[in-house]
Amino acid sequence: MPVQFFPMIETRRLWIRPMRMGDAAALMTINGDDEVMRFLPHPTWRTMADGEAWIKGMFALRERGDTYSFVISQRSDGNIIGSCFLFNVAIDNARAEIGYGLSRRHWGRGYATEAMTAFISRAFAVLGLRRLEAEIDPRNTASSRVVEGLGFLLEGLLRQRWNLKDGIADARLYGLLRSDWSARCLAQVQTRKSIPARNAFQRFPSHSISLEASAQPTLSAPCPPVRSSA
Amino acid sequence: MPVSFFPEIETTRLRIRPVSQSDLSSLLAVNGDDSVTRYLPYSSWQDMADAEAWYGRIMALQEKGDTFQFVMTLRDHNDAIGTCLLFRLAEQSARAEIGYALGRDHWGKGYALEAMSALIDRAFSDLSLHRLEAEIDPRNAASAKVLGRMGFVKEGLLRERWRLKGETTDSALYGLLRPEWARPASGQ
Repeated sequence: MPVQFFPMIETRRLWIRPMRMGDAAALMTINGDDEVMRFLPHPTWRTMADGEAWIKGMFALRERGDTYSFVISQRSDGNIIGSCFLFNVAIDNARAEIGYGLSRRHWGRGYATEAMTAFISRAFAVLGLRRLEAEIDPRNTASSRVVEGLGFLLEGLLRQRWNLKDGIADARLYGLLRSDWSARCLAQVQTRKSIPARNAFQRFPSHSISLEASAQPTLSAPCPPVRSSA
Repeated sequence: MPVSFFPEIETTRLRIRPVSQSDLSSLLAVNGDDSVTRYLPYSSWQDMADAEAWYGRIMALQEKGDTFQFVMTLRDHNDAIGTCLLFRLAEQSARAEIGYALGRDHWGKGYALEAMSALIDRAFSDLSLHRLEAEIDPRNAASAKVLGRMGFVKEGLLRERWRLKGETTDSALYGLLRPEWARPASGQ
């Protein structure tokens, strides 16, 4: 029996909820953009049929308990600005992989970090995972910065692992253990006592941090208040 | 149309051929041994039911076309002394993963190196692969040595990636690129 993971998550600026077939049109403007898809392991959507077939494929993987797909929308206007995923779910090994994509207009505002922070917290909590992984094209520096900011450690560089739309590419493998995450949460609570979160965000807009740096204020709260329930 | 890769290969001392149901009793002797499965991602087989279940899973994966399972035998025998496989074939990226297991009676003779070198040779040429991968328990020194001899490069150490046999274990990732492949002298 596949695991159940269908949370509705609310963050300061965003909503995250399970993907539906009806999201295809909104996602078309995002996943139909070559720039968004450049480093992702799926072809750019050219037609609505592409999009619907892809979502259908995601649903089939969900049936098997392998993949859970979500859309990210803005609370202010309800518009969908991206998607995120938990995939390669290996419950016996308490591990899964994360992925995400944001519309180009919404890059550079900390949305990926905000969404994935809440998403990761929920995945660890609901599924009892011990480890999360992310695989990133080394040229995708924005995405590397996001996962490094979340506390993922670079654990491997796999040479010439992909040959997709953008030629032969290496892969960076990142790993995050629940114990790392919990330690960061604790450090965050301590940090919050001295530095207001908003101030911390402005002062440290986008730098990667290591576990050793956890005494410093981090990019955004690793343990946000999450109000809604699964 | 799925790819097909079911060669029969002869080396100096060994024969490698696609697995068949009649191999299961010899394979039970291999995979029923805790010292063989110690660092492998499955528990020792307890009985023929475990063997049959494994065979069913392998056949399903072969049906999908991304896995090719072989046994190795001594050249003049028919009994399987070990297994080797190519799996997670990713055609577009011209990549696959390798795995192997050898019965304890046959350790220390260079058989794993001999068999895997031959299989890798065929995989690179018949499937036009560009990259092969292997994932091992970092404590599995014998396997690391075989990979090193074949030119695999250690590319990563993934923390706490598996929970097996009551242990949480790390995983070492290795990669070999086709331009780097120089078949080692067989045996030894």
